[in-house]
Amino acid sequence: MSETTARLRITRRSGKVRVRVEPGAPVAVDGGTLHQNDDGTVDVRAHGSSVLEVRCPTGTDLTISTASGAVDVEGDAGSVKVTTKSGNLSIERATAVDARGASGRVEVGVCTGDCHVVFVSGNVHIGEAAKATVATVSGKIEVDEVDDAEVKTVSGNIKLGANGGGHLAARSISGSVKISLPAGSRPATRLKAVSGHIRCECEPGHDGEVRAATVSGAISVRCR
Amino acid sequence: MPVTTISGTIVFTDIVGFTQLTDEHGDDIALTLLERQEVLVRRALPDGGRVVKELGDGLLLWFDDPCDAITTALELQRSFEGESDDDLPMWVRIGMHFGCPRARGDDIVGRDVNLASRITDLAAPGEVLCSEATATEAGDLPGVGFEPLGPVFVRGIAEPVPLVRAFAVD
Repeated sequence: MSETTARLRITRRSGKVRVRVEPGAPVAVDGGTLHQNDDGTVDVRAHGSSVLEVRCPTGTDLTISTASGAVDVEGDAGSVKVTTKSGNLSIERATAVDARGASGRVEVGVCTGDCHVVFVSGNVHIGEAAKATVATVSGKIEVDEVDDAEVKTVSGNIKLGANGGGHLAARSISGSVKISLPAGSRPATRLKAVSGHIRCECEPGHDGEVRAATVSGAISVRCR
Repeated sequence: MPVTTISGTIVFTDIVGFTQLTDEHGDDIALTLLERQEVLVRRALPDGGRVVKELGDGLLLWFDDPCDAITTALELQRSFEGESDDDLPMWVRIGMHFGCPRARGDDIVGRDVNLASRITDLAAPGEVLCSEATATEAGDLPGVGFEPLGPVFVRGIAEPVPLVRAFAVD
């Protein structure tokens, strides 16, 4: 299999999928088969019930589809798209992420581009992202370092650590919203808690924008 | 009742957080949300589009033309966003599939209806998700982009279904 292969489509109904992205690694699979398509993509299909292990070179774009089972992507991947009904998801580093599912914990280490996560239930944690777009029904949403973010949850709590100067929008119906900004930040703010408490430590200004709203939760914006 | 097979696009809308809002703020909020949704949908429907039925906090829609289904859904998301405010968020997800359901009176039933419903479950508030079959049937649409999301396994459907996200292009 050529090292220039850059797009993998991994499909497995149930069972764990582990992808190891390594510099110069040839595409290889343990527990499945590879099929090269005319459009340059490589299809990976699992066999049996053991862990599906895939190796591929740094920067590979991944599309992973499962019904159930954990998905673990280690290393420096390109764009990563994952759909699952249930199962935990872990992505160490990617240029872009689109992850969708019904239930499971989502962990993204670093996403240098857009990190888009849509899960019904389960906690979502993103270490770093240029832009985070997250929607859940329930479950905690935490983003440690982000430039821009648009986060919505029905009943989960939201915690955003912003790099400052970007646009942040966090909305929850019954959860709380906590946003921390770099010391000295002076963002434009629009904060609305219909029945909850609002606390904002930042001086108003035009250093980015912070919009937060909850119907029955509390809002806190502070400079760290 | 006569049953026929028809070809077109099945669309579901679903208000996210409806149960929570109703639980915390009462039935009047529920009625307001439902009325807002229905008014906006009926206003946006083109010829060849109709409300099949109400489903709790969502609607089942039918479009003869997949292009109309996609452009109307995107227009609706803009309208829902415009109607949404901090006191009363109007978060609606939309999913669709082009297929051949059975028509039973005004109702539609079958695998393709179920599939459209499952696709909706994967959409975020404000998003429009389509089966790849819908995007293929629609072809190139001015002002509309499609982002492939890969195949998805959905409950009750044997094979994974390729999915795309439709979005407005300025």
